[in-house]
Amino acid sequence: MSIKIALAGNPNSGKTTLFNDLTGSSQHVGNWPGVTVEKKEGTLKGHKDVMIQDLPGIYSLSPYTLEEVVSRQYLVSEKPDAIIDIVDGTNIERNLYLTTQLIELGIPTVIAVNMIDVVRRNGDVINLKQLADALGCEVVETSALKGTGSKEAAEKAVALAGKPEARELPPVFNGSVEHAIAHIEESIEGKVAARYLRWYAIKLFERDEKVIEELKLSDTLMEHLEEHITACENELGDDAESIITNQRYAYIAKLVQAAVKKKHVGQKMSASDRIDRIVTNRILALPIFAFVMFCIYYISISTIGDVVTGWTNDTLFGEMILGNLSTWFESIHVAPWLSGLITDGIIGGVGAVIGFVPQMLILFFMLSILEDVGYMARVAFIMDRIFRRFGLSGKSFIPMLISSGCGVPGVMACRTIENERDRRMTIMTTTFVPCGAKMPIIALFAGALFGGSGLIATSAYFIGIGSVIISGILLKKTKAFAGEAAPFVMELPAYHVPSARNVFHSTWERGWSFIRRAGTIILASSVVLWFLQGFGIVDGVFGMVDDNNTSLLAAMGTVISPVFAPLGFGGWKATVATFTGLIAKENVVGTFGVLCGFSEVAEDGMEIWSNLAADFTPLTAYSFMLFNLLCAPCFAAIGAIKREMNNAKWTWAAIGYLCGYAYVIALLVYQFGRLFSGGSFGIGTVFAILVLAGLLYLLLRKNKYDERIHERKVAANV
Amino acid sequence: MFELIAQNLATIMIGAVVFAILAAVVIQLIKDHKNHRSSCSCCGCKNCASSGVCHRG
Amino acid sequence: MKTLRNVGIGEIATVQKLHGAGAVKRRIMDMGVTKGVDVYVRKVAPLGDPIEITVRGYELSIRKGDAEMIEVG
Repeated sequence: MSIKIALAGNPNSGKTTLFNDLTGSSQHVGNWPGVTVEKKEGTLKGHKDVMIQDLPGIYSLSPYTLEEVVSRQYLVSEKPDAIIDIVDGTNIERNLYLTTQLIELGIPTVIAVNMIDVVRRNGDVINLKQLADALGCEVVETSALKGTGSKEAAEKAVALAGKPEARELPPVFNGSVEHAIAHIEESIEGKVAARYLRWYAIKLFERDEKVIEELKLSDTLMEHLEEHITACENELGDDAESIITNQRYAYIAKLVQAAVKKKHVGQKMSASDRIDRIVTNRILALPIFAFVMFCIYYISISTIGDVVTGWTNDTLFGEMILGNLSTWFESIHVAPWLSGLITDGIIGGVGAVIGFVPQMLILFFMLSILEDVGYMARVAFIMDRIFRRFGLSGKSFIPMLISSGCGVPGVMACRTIENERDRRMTIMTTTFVPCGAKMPIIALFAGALFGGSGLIATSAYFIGIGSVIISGILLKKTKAFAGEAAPFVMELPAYHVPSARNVFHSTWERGWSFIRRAGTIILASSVVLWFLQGFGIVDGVFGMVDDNNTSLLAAMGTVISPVFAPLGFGGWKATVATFTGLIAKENVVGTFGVLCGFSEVAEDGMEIWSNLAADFTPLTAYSFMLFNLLCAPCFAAIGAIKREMNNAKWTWAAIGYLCGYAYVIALLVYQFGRLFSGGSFGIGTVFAILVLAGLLYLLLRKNKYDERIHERKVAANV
Repeated sequence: MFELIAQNLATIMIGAVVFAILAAVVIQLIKDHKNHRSSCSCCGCKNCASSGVCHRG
Repeated sequence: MKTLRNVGIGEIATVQKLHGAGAVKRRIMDMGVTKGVDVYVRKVAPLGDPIEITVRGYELSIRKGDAEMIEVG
């Protein structure tokens, strides 16, 4: 006999930690059918026949958001044997709001008052017995963080699963409302399972669209019910939905007043607030954010990072490895081509990327601290206003923050955006933000052509954000994306001291994955590249070539490179590097490493930098960098986009947009840069001016979809 | 034939090592792809510091 | 009509009525902003939007546009 237990609760109530506690590693993650909402289930530790279904974090069982609908569906049609409702003890009123709705389902429920350790620390006291008596459920205290109570909660749920006896529900609703609900219950008796009768009746009272659709009651019956509902509305002077919500909270407020004794009464400025007064200050917030990002990039790339990378490239690779390796190979008579493959190809490519590991580690470290402290949530709060202008909400900013580490989880994070159009738009634009893999590209050019300036990285980051905003403006004016700005109602967690464990874990995770990619994908790519650039057809004969300008790779690159000529980097090496970037963005660096003779030991050591400097000017380097940062992301990220869009047309549209946009920006930067630095006015400039005009038009034209939105809003308020 | 091997012994051995490494890399990449593990830092979101923001629960 | 949008930082207001309809209104109510509840305006983001309030013991951020729907007294 298998038992199904549902795990429900508010977002941030500690549900996930509890779920992990109860199921250990026996979890299975997927998607609820037809929607991009994550579905997690697992077996209870020590009870092979008990399945725990983790429901999405929800505030209510309304019919308005995907998560709520999915949860309701599950609870009503899958008929779990018990529910564990996780209530955040530090936020008890709002959490109990969901509880009152869950118990109406008639399913045996255990309430787990979580974060009890924080409650105690605040000096508050919760009378569990009083809550249990009032709500008619078992109440258990838990601290998911400290690991106490979860087993007890599960055991109780399992015990309850066997006996679905009718519980007495608390008197949440008063007089006429209770009367109307009872009436509705009578009217639909027999049409729904007895256990769910009350829940359906209340939903009908609220005129819940989805329930009405599901039950398909006769018109006469609906009219009859409507009379009762309207009568109540007139009596209480409010609409049915609001009446229910108000009465729930009124009941909860009374219950909490009796059962919970809070230590602090009144508003107190916490430490978090004091920090926020400066950090989210009207005038200072954005400059502070810009400054913080600049510092991060400056410290990781320009200062400490630069020195360590220099040592890694010069000493470690230059002298120790390469010097000794080539000599050794010679001494044991290894064929020159193999020696070349290993030193120029593998070590050249991989080494170029590995050289950046120190910088990456420092960067990841600092980003982890920022995240753990809670600053990033503030940034979403700050950016919301700017984003709202362009039809996006601050919620779209969070995937972008994650993308600054890696684009794949960034794209996946778009799932939390309910509005489909906003979601699609955010998926398309979130890869504009430079990810960890793109950093070596920035660092390479910053070092080779800009004297290691930290401004390059910072500018790249903000150009990324700017591109998201520009794209937002552009796209919102097109039919596919026009629409009202999504509601932004979001919780802000308090600041907390970063946990060393989390930070180190996070830094190590990302750092190790970076190194791993270098050792796998980039290694393989470098080998292939080395062969392609080491062989060619010279005078009709196929064989090894000395000058890689005559190689197969050069031939392939030269065919495509005219496409990039207007952007300033029409050489075959740049073209090849850009394409290898599709496999992994670090490959751009790796490719240059192979092609520009990273492994040649020179007096000043930074051989690759001077070779690079020979092929690029600061302007063309910047243009090249921008193109690679903004164009289509690596295959892994494209795969994520494909999965989240769930639609081939949209995926191609996204890639097309990214490449097109990157091309336009690089074009404008190069052409106008050339013009302003004294270059001549040529056909490229004309082209650029036309493109700029087109861009400005798309940006500034009147949004013809705005009218409709305005009309709908006016109609709603009347 | 043996002279050929003897002469190029070093090449063959080092070459074999390189080949083995490459094979291992390719196999690892294929395995990753089959398990839907992206080559990026994401193997489910439990490692991400901002996973609470992402996963609403 | 005084709405939550007009309440200054550091002030407390009591919700009188919620205007508007549909998903946003329901969401705001689900979060605990209902008739009769006290809200304390904690902070306002740069550029004036969104605002952060304390309601029923926790912090919630709402856009000014949505705050306009909340009539206070």
